[in-house]
Amino acid sequence: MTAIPTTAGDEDAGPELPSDTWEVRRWSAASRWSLGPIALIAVALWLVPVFARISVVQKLTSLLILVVLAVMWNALAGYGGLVSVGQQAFIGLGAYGVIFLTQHHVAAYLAVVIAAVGCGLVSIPTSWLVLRLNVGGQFAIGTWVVAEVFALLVALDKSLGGGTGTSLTALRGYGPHRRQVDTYLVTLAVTFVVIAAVVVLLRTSLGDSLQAIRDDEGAAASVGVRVTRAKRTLFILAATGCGAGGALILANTLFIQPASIFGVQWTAYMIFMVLVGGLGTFEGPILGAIIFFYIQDRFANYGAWYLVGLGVTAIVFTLALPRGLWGAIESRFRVRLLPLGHEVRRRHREPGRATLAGEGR
Amino acid sequence: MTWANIVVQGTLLGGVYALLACGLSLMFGVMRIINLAHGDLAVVGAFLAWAVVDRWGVSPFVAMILILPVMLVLGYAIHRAFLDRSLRAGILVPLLATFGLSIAIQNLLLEVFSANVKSLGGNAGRITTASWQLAHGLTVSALGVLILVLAIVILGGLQLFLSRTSSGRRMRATAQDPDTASLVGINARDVYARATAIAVAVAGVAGVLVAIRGTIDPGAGPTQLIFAFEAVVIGGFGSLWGTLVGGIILGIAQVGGAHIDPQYSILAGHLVFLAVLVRPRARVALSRSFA
Amino acid sequence: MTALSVEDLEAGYGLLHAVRDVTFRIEPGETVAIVGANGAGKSTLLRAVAGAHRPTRGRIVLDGRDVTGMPAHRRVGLGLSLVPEGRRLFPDLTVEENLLVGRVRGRQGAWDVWSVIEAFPIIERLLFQKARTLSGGEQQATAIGRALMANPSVLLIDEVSLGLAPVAVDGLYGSLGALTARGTSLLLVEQNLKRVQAFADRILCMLEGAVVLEGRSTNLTREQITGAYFGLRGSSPPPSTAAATGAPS
Repeated sequence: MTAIPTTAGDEDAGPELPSDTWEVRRWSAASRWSLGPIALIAVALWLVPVFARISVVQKLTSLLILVVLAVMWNALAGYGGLVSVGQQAFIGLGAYGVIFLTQHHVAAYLAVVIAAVGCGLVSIPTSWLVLRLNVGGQFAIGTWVVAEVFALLVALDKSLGGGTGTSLTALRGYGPHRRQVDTYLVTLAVTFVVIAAVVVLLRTSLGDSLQAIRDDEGAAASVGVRVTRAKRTLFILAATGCGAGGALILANTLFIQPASIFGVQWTAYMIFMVLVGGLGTFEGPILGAIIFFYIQDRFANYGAWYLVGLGVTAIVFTLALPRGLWGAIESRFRVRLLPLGHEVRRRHREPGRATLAGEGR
Repeated sequence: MTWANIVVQGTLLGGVYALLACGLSLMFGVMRIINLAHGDLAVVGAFLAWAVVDRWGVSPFVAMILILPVMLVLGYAIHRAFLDRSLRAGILVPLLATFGLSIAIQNLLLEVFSANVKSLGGNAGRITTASWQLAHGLTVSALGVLILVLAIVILGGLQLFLSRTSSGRRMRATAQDPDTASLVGINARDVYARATAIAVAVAGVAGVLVAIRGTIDPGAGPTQLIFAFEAVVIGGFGSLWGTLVGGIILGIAQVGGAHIDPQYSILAGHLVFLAVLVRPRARVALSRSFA
Repeated sequence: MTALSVEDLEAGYGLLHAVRDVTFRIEPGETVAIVGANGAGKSTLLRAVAGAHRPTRGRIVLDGRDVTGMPAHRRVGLGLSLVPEGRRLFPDLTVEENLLVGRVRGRQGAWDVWSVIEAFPIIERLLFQKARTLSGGEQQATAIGRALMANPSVLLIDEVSLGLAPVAVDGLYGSLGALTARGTSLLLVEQNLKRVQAFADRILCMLEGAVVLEGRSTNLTREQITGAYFGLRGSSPPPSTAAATGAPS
């Protein structure tokens, strides 16, 4: 917390006011309150396999994967201003990474981790390419082309199953119940790690840099913000997260094809979740994932009309509720659950005493 | 002889890509946005023409002309309905909104026309099979030549429109400085809507030609978009004729790739695109404004 | 009928009030100059009048017609043109194209490319050059010419002589004189107080968003203007004195 002194009033302006100092706080009352419930939820999630039916565990696994993807896409677009239409490149790469590793006798769940890290590594040279595309739309399609290239290269490799797809045979040894529970727990761990990574990143100076970049890239660069480095960090993080997501999709569904795992519908889902939930907010993507999961569960049977509805909803949200549902809640009720913002509070100094009086926003 | 063949076939293919890219380039030049639904709008044009041919049995070329006013109105309507508002809301919003539109269009087409591929080649008459033999081992299809000529004519026409007409002049002025444009009496919203209308109409024409050359299906939009974008990037943002050059280079790359192995054709195009990105000169061209 | 009437205008940027409670009128053929330090609100005032900035309160009446809610391009069609600060020519259009683009349907009149060249002779040899290659004075002449192509009845010019050589400014004011002779009203923002007193019929001095001094240029002394300009106490009369209502002395 830093104290910022203000100048006292004009000498002939009247009675002397107590001089105020201001301080910057990161934990709001709401964020302190929510720590308890968040911890409770975390513990409850760990214990789910003990109490719930296996079908619930499977659904929760799918939901958590969606949360990971949404949080990652939001990190790129909401915090970095980078609209990627090609994250499926890393989703697919993560999944096929696991196939490759397990073909070479690496344990399945370890392969998930290694594949995710591998995606992070591949994203470094990829970022050299795509971060050159400075105007938003160019970056979007550039990432899409990269995804298409990855998909084509994988489809050409016969050892990975080619165009018709492969299954994850390494998990065959487990019984289906045990496999599902293990997959769920690994997914849960990955979800926590990903969310923690985003929180940590945002609380460091990277978070402030990104805010500056979002507001005005040129101005940010002129005050010394390393714009490209900040974007690259985000890109690598998102690639790793999406790679983990893809690997977990494989573990959850056991069979993948290049066309579907590298398909642009993943981007459609991510965009929907983040737009509806709240672009640029932290809690938004999680909310969006829950909503999307429910919609998918309920309406996927309606086939193409369901997707038309998704598309139209995305359009409506971008125009009417650009900050999404959570963004609307946040501005209406001024609530922020995690200690990610900055609040300026006034601290009145009475003669002889120092107390904190009230909140000033 | 095969190299010459690759270049010739690639050039003819480039005509299609140039037409696909033309509208994308125009919208980017005037409004600085990439319409992620551009490919899908080309597919809409193709399906509209197919519906006309299916219903009234006219030639696809006649259908192409018939759907032109429809595509113009469609583009204008899309702009006034939501693209206009998106433009004022920031950089992310138009991308997201057009992406939503893309998804909506693809699945709407799926519902209305089913997933089966369609082709207009069968109804186009002898032109689809006619060809000339230039030299030993080097044949040139009449359809390919027609498409290339059409591309040159349309690109040329657009260029003339922009440089010689008052409406085109206003479009260029608005592209360079929309705030000042309104200060000199230009209705910027109207200019943007017209640009979108033209872009969508040309996309429709391109879509019809793609369907005549081969097949089209409701999900073909994204592929057309990627080809269009690659053609624009390779040729350099900022000029319509660059789009033609870019389309031709892309076409040659794809034909060349196919020559090595049919599976490599699209990949070859992607690799050329990525290679252009790496070249420093491409970066300068990427940010040049529309003149 | 009054050419332009601005009533109780307020405009700003969020919580910052750049223009506070400004009221004035311009008669046909009259030249009114606005002076004031940087940040006084002059540009915002002109932009609000032209329609480029939405006011929070107030009315703008052009030739008896309320244009307050109208977008900028429609006001041009009704005869109100602004030459913005920094000239803002279209950089990749030629000078001729910049002029042509200023034409507005329904506003034919004395001004066309030839008469603009006559008024600003330096433009003639630059007609086919791209606007980005022009010097400051050439750009200003072209920008004014572009605004004139719409045959405005009221012409607003923001920062007439900023960044221009004195010789270029002389020529500019000479041409502006010819303009007013034809009945066009002028509202100028000008930093050069000497020019202002010599050229304008009336002067408005703005300070921190409000008009603190208003009067015929012949009635106001140099000291009065500079006093108001810098907000010195005691040296500017309150706006309600007789000298400020525009009555000839």
